[in-house]
Amino acid sequence: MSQLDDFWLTCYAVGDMQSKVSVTEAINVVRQLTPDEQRELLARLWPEPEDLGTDRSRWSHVKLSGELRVVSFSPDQEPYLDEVRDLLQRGVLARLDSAEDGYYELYGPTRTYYVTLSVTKEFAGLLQSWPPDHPPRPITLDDSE
Amino acid sequence: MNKLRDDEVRRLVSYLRPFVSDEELARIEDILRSDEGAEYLLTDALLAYFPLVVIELRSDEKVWRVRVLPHAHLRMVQRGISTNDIEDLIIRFVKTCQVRGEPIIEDYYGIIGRTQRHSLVTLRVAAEEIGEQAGQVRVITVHWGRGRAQEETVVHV
Repeated sequence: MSQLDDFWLTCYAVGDMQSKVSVTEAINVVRQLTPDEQRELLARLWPEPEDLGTDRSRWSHVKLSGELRVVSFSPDQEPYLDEVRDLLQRGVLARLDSAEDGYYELYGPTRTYYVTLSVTKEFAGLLQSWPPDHPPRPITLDDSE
Repeated sequence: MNKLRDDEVRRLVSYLRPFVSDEELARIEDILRSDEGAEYLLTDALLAYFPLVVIELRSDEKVWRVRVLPHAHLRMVQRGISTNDIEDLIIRFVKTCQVRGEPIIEDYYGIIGRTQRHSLVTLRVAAEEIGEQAGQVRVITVHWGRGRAQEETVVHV
């Protein structure tokens, strides 16, 4: 039996499932998730940006100094400012969502944070956040209307 | 990050002109036209000039209050997205959900669509205060929006 065969994952993030499954079973389950849910899971299972394959340019590990300034751009996000500051000071896996605008998703242990991030200015503006299993719902409008 | 385009700088400078002195406006324009311009917009440096915008509209026989937060307001001005564009996108969002039989619940949504001038726009919004009472005001908060000149760069979130 290979190491891979011995490798078992305990999946807590996939729906209500809370049991040991094989890698194959886990992959089959993950394939049924939406792209957003898969990304949420991937971010927590594979936290080394250099191993993230073809999408590596979008992924990075961000760590800022104690001089960091974190501001809430939305009143409902103020409760999360300390957590975002702690994450950025400890170092956090980040995904560049928009290179043009400098928007990042930061993957915390219990929540994903959507921020404007300036590494050179050591500044983060918190726009939105959500739990890993509940990313924003994409709605594509019919442009023929 | 790329430098801001000339049309983006001109829109921002034109918007800011009534609020700041000529000297301050020249200083801001210098920053916006420099290599630091795009990063400058990531901070809160200019947000005091972009107040909350509230739009009330009727769709689906309900009143919707759309709140455009300051950072989204700044991006709207930068990209030339008008409040009419936002109204149109939100109305079409409500209708799209209605046609699909998906009730709009208290949640975050990523709305992807084109304005009437065919610019592709992505809006991140939060829907709140959804209830069953007749005449209740629904609130949609636009956290940010971005326009795209080239379709191939769109990231569907």
